[in-house]
Amino acid sequence: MNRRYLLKGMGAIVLYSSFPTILSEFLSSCKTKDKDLRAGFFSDDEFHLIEGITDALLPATSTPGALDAKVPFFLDLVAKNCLTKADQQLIKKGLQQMTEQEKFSSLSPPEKLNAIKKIDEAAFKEDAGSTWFRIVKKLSLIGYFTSQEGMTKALTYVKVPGDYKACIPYKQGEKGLAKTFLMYW
Amino acid sequence: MNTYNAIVVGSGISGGWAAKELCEKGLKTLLLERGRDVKHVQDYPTANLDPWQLPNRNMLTQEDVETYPIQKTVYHFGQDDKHFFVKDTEHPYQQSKPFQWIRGNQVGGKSLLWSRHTFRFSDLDFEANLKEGVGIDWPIRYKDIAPWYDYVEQFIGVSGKNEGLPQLPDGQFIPPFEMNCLEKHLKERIEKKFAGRNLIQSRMAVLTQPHNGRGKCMSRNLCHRGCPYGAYFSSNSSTLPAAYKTGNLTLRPFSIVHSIIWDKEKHKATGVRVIDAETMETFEYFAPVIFLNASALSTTKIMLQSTSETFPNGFANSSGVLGRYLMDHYSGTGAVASYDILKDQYYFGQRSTSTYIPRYQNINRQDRKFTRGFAYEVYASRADWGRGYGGPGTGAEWKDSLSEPGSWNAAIYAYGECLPDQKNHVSLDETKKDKWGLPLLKIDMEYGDNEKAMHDDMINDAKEMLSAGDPEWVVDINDPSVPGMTIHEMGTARMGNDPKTSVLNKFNQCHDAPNVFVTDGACMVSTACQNPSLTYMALTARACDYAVQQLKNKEIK
Repeated sequence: MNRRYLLKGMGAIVLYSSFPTILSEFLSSCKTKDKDLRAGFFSDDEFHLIEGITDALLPATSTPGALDAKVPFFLDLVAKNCLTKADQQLIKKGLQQMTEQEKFSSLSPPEKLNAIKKIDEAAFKEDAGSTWFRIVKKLSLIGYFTSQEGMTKALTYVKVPGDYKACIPYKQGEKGLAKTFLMYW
Repeated sequence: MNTYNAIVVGSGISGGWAAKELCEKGLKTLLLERGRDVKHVQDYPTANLDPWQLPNRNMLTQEDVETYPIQKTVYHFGQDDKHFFVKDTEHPYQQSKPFQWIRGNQVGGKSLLWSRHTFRFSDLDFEANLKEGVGIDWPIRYKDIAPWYDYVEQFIGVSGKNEGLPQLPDGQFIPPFEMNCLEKHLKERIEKKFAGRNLIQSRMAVLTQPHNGRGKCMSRNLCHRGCPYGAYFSSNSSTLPAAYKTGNLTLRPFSIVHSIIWDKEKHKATGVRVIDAETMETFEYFAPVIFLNASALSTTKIMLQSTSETFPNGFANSSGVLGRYLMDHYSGTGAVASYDILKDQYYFGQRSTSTYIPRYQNINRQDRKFTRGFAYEVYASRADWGRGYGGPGTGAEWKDSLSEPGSWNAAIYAYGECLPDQKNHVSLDETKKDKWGLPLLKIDMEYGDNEKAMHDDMINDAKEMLSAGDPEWVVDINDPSVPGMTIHEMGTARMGNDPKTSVLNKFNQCHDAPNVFVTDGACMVSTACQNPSLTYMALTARACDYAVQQLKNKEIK
């Protein structure tokens, strides 16, 4: 788990809300290396929103969180490579809405979680305006649970299981087997 | 030297068998494959990659979607196995009606990608056409093929169990994979509630113990990437190594067969014309016996391209049925259920095999509004984190809950027999050519009334059987297959007793050209509802045995 990274991210967002003009300089000084790892689908502002969303969805607990597993980088990559133009636009529009209407970036962490909860619930009530969020959520889960961090720490990943055991006892709290047959229907 | 004792066209599941059998019987055999070579293990580039090492974690890019619009619809098509499929953009065909033509043009063909189910046909299947007056009669019965089923099963290694079911004959099996707890529960409930229905372990070409030099399954469920242990049967892991071992095999990859060479004077096929897929050069190869195993539609395409004065409408096509009676199993129907039981039970490892409900309709009497029937593949497991994107949820508690296995789920998928219909056919479109100058195949197929009449029963029966296990909920699977999508395309050069209504005789030998044999899916007279690959393999081994006898007896020269 990389708590330092997490704190740094939160710090940046706090700074952003109070001193927006300083932000870009601050970011370029401390995030150059990370920025090199980005695929470039999201703008800096969008990328920070994605960091906030994925962190609220999948926070660090006793297992690593979305930021530890570099889920925002994964979203940036697959949004660029794998999504249709229509879905790409939906996501950009959704993020814009979050900035303009929800002022998501200026919210405190608990407020952020609430805002995400609201969008999430709307998204599963077939609210057309929130379809973009279902895509982001699905990609976040894929990004997390197929990452090395997620697979090996939040799940049981055994590369070569060997003998198949058909029926074994299970106790609540034990981690599930990591999915290796990777189709995402 | 361009002359051999035998030529085999295609290296997939049946071509690999033809090469092995002919080589082992001492024939210097040329194996022609239109795609590249794929060596066992060394050419499985993704076999040992961790999920996070795959590009885009196995998601398809928009470029992939444009390059593989047809192939991508296969249930395991991803970054980890797309190199085993043709690029649709480079291998066009014409669809008069929607038809998904799935192709793996490489050494091993689709034997690298198959679902590995290995079921025998029974006399219920071989006799059905005759009894019902549908299509034509099979020229063989179960007793003719049974020893060859034995022979093939013993070589490839089939895990399974003898059940004594007349509609799904027993075989030569190695121990089966054990059922998980939900499967056992469903088996007990279904068999108790429905007389004549059984839930059994699928018989599959996946090894539960070492077999013929191949390793046993390591429970990774990554067969489609190519198995580094050789634990599932493919040409690459099994028949081709056996063929090489004889010293009699010559493999020529990148060899697109243009046509069969017909000698009008001798009134026999003498060889094949080949286009090198890379250089576009053409070659001729000669042999006294030729096996066509290019896959059902590709074999028929070669025959349609092989016109001559003797055969103006396609090779060995005096009957006029070449290209006709195309069939594919009807699928895409069934049900899914979720169970709020057995929460203290789990499994270890990812089993790559299914369980199976053999056909139970119309067995001893006509009890449905359709003829023939369907069987089900059954898959049961505990839900993984993918359940997270199916509904609302956010934050720490929700995230942690997804680390645990979810409810037990079972999905059951029907596979229905498809009746032969002369309207369903393939032909050549001479106005359109591929990059090798060959005409495109035009495919014209739709499901008929009998397949459609099964549709509702496939779903309703699935729901009633899953309901017998007391689920929390059950829902329909109702996504009927487009023809081709089951990837069990069969027919178009069928066997039969009468040369006027069939292309091949009871030994898969062309009625019109006794030294040419067709032993892939093209030869099928009906489809049954079982997965067909085992039958292709058994017919191939049987035909090879016969061909070599005929050569010895100088009946073919």
